[in-house]
Amino acid sequence: MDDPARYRWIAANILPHESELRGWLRRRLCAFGDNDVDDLVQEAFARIWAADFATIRNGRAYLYATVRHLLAEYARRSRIVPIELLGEIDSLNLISDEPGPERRVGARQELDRLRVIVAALPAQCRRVFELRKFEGLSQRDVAARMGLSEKTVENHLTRALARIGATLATLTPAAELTHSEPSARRADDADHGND
Amino acid sequence: MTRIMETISELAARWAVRADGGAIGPDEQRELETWLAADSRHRGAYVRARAQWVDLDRLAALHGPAGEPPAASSMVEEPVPDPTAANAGVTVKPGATAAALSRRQLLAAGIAAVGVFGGGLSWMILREGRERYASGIGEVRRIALEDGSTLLLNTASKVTVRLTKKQRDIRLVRGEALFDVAHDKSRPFIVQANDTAVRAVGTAFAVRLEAAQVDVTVTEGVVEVADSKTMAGLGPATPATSRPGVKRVVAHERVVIARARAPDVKPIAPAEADRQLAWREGLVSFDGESLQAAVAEINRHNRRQIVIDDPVLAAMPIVGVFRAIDLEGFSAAAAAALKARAIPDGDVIRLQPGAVPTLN
Repeated sequence: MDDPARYRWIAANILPHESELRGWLRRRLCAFGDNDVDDLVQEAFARIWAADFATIRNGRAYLYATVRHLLAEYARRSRIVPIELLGEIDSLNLISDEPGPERRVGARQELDRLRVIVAALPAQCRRVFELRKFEGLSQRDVAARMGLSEKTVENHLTRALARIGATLATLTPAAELTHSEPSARRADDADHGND
Repeated sequence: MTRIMETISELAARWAVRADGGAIGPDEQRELETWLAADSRHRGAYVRARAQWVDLDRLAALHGPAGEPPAASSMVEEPVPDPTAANAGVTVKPGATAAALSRRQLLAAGIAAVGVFGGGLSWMILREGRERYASGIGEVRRIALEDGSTLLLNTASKVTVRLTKKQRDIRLVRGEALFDVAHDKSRPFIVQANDTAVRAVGTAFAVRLEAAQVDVTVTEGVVEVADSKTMAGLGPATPATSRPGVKRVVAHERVVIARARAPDVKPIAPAEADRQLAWREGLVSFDGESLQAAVAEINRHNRRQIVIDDPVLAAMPIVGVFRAIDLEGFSAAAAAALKARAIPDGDVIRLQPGAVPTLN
């Protein structure tokens, strides 16, 4: 599988489960701030990227298994991970790909939400994004069409992608709304990577 | 004010956009590699951003021509709609929109190819004032009509459209389509499927054509259903609700017309209608249907097919939402849920009774 095919595989098999995973982590890892959830998700994506996709039969199960390994590592390195969490992630129904009721709603609404996010982009940013993504113009052609520099086009596309990614990351499945109060961010974030 | 620091996600988004743009020079490539190697979170964020960027193509699949409905006069006949040829399906349009349109169609082809075994191409033909629209296997295609109505074609479907001053005449030749009808009292919107005609003024409804029946689900407003002959005799805009042979179907109702049987109208809950129309979002949704029925549905969206080797397995219920073009994902999930095995076998994936595969 070449890299574009691998990105598509991730898009089809891992991305749909990300917001569910984040919601679960946010609810369960009260000692974790959003930055920690970000770290964990990024680490998980890095691990999954290194895997042989042909051996993965269930993306959701693999994602949770990866996170479980990471949490166990964090715990060993005395990062703050409540021990009972490891037991809980074990008891999750990892094999079944059946989404719960909230996930089914999530799947239905996912594209609607994307559309809303795109619609909410600043006008020029949105136009650039639409020309690139919907019309399939190259960045250079978008720049020529709109009379912008290619750098500006790149900036708009970056902003669009970053905002879409950030919004999806903070989406909370409906059933979890009561737990969605933002947890306090840890102040000592600077020590990442030094341990 | 410029921001001094970008977060990992923002940096990853910038690199993803740059790499996707294609014009990444050797120096930049080195810079990217250095950045990726510096921290495993960088790699993860980058992979996530690239995957999200790819995933956004699904939006384009549902995105019709933005404010530029296909004008019949500018459409050019395209005689060889061969969905298997790599460059088929690119309609040649004169003028400045040619590039954009063919790019869109290429893009649509790319989206179909996102499913490992999808790959149908869309095409249009103008013939005797009748426009033809078709979707490839695994493709969901949105078409904006001149009158402001839109139609959404499910996988492997085909319609023809003829808009005149008196009537909007649509034929569902194959498959399934959802119609969102622009209000226009002077021009009834009539969809014909086999011998059944469905008439609407301003409403939304889906029609599915199968071998032995036509299935109409109304999500908004009211439609009238009759056989084609009866409908033809009604004339324009007749309030025909009480005429013999004409069935009125309102929102949240579904009617099944089987050959040589009276139309069978039943209520359908909005959630159930949403579920049945999950294909609008490129999804298929099952709520206790047999594996056999679920496989039949998912096979409609894919060139590669799933075969169930065991009648007991075939009768087991399936619950879940799946990407219509993700045949492998579906078979793996079904196998896991039903304690079966999914075995790739050339052009098919076989589902057989067996043990749950272990993960670790």
